Amino acid sequence: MIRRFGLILTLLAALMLPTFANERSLTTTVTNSFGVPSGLIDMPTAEMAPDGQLSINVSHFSGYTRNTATFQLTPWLSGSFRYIGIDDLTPLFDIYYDRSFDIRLRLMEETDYLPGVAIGLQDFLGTGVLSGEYIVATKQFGERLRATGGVGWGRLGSRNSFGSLGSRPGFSFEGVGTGGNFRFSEYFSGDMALFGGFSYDATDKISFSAEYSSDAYEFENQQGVFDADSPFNFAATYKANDNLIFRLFSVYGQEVGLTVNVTLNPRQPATETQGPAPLPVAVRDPARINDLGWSTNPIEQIALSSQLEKFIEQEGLTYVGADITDRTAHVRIENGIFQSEAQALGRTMRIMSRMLPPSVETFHVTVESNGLPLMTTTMSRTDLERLEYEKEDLALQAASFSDSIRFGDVPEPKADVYPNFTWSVSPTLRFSAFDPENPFRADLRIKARANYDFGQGWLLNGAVSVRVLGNLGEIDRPVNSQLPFVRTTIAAYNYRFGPTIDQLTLTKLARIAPDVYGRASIGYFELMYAGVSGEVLWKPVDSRLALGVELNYVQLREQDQRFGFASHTTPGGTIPHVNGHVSAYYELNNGYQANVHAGRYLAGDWGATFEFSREFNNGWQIGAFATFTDVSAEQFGEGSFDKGLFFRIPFSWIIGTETKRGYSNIIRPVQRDGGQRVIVPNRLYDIVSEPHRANVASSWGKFWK
Amino acid sequence: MTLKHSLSLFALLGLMVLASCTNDDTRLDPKQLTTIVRESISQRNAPPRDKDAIIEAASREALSLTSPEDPLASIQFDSVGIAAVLREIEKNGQHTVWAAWGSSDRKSIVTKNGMIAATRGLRKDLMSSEADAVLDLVRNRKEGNVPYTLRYLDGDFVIIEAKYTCTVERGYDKTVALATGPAPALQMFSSCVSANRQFVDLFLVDRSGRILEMRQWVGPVLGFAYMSQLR
Repeated sequence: MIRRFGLILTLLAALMLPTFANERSLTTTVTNSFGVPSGLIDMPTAEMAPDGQLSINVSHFSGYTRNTATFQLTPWLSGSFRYIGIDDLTPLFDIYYDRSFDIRLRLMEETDYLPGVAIGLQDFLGTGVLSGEYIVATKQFGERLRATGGVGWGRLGSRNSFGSLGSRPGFSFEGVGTGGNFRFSEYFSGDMALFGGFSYDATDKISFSAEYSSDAYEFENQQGVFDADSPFNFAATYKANDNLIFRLFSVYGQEVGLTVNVTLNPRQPATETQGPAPLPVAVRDPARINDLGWSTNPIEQIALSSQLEKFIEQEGLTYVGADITDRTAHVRIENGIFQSEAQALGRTMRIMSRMLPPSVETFHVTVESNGLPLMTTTMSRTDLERLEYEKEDLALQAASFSDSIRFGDVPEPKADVYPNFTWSVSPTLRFSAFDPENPFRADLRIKARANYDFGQGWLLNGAVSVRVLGNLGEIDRPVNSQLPFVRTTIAAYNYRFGPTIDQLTLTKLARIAPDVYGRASIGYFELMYAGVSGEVLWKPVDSRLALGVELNYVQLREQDQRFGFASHTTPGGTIPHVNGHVSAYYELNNGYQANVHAGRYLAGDWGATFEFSREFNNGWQIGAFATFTDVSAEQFGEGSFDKGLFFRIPFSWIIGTETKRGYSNIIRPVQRDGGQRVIVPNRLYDIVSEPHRANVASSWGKFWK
Repeated sequence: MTLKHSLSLFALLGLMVLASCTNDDTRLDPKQLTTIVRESISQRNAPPRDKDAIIEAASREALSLTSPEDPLASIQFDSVGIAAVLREIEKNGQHTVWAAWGSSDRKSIVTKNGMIAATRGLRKDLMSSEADAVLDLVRNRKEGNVPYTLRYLDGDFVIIEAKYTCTVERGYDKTVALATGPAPALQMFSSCVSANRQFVDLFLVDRSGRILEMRQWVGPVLGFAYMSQLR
């Protein structure tokens, strides 16, 4: 072990030589047959994708299909989730499906004289059928040629090994156990081998690659599935456009295969947002600044409020109320349309500058959500006039932000704002992924949703849905959980024709004190659970840190999802009624967000969930989570512990029209009963943090848009 | 999930947006979507029009229908097919906000002492700029090397700066046809270079330093703007 680490450290030390000037980032939009950024075929390189790129790669050669989603989390770190199908790998299944995760880290940028260097772990969290680790260097020569050389372990050390670091058991189905767990003792151990190759861009659209592979496909060979005869692989790649890449390749002198790679980058909208331009700021005539005749005229006051309302509503914002005095105006709005809270503030202040008499010098805008005043932004009108066409962040420095409760004197909602009834009818999708018998099943449903906003934070939300078509009802895998069946029975809920009550909750949101928010909810929270829930959140407007606590009393619902309740006694044990968590939320720089939730989960297990995500100002979110509880891997079952990916795609990014709506979901490699939380609508953190300072500041350029 | 599944999912998502209906006007109205699709199809199928002729006709009409004191200008962005006669709608210090004459469209062009300083409501707007040094040379009809900065919003709503160094040079004497009659002007070229782009702006400046006509680089999507003072 010591020898192994010694060698790795020596390698790293050798590679981390002082960085020369003129660093270059080796980036590529091409991915290899494992779906990770690489100009080679089966082997990795030190290349990274452009920051924020999301790629979906489908690679196929006879009997072997790999589907990989890779996200370039930072310019130097990427993560991949892969779902493969191999024909006849085991007599148990016609097609053996397997899930795996990769992580790749750039250790050193390429310079004029030194190559870029990366380290990677392939299938580090899965059954291990694809597991391998590598340290790899890539150097670009001229504009078109890149050369790569590296050393690999695991699969990548299985051909012509030149040495070994300790021992490493070969892959076997017996050795998998529950799978899905870390195998720290195996990383960078066992046989090592060298690999390498070249990629050459013949034109901007066409490139060629050749490589020497260190992967002998030992296990596939043993099972008689695939014989990797020759170590040489070749590929021709065609970039149809920035987002679509095709590749034809030959591997191991045996097979010809095809790769389709679809890429997108959240930072580059599919359609640029097109909305009406803002009204220009109106600059006052200095001679009229002390004209106060209007302030004593009640009719003028009413006319001003009604003009403000008309123009603010024209922007798509909700005008809640206003207080106007001779020198100060305070407008209260709700932003249901702009992704950027800064844009909502900018639009409101521009209108204020056009509508309000010249004597009004100070503008306050309070943004509320669901009747809850959250943040008050203050700017002097003089600064607004002065900075309209100056460098954008000067206005940010001129603005001040306060908790609306701490600020005090927030305008009362005008009489006709509440109650507010909204409804919608829309198609919705329920899906099940990664079932060994059918990897993707889905039902299309029609969902009717109604929201009744009483004001003062009182909300009544309901949703009813009916199944239209789909194949979720075909799932008939028996539940084999050793824990109370808190989630593994979800299939029985999912496929119901309905009408099902998807949600029916009464919620009270409250401002308990400055920086402190509260929520109480009762009703049918989600498909499986009803109950009572209480939450308290501490989140100052200018703090990156928030702390919360939530306590729930839950009741399992009948599978028909009407009003009835089911017994908490299941073959795996009794579901406890009480669960809850304490949470910490931290906004890192550049949109990275880290959250921890620690407490008691639905099955009564105790532990913590770690979430890490990247949130873009335009509404995209991509993240991963893992939950570790006091349930052992054996008790948990397949996957060993709960983990998965979550994402949100904003519709405005796709269609280019301002809307806050989006599609979000969670993808788990396997759904088990350990580490599961109840889904409670209107949780506080997202509602409260959205209009707070960090979000406003990060998209401040939109203030002037 | 296979590619087929992924594409199906995207198609379903699109369907889910399109097939929605709601009374909530802060949510997306499916009608907006169909309008967007219809507009993009009609734009693609529209026959090419002679923009110069349209602008000339519109300019004549605007000049005849407005007061002789009202400033008017015309603008063309060839790369995005925008052409309009402009009227002043607001002033903020040295900045003038222009919008299309005869239309309530909010799209606007902002000039500072005659040079385009910002756009609003166009594609990939120029959000702001630092052009005082260029303007100083151009309006005083002097030569020199000066910095020039243009700012845009990227797809993640972050301001990105394009910093240029510009060489301003005098050209030939020309005559500009204004509504009030021909006006003598001098060509001023501003050749700007950054790490990954270069362009040449051209200004026709009269003796008082007023920019009468120009071809100015505005941004990677909007390309060059051709702007003329009509009055």
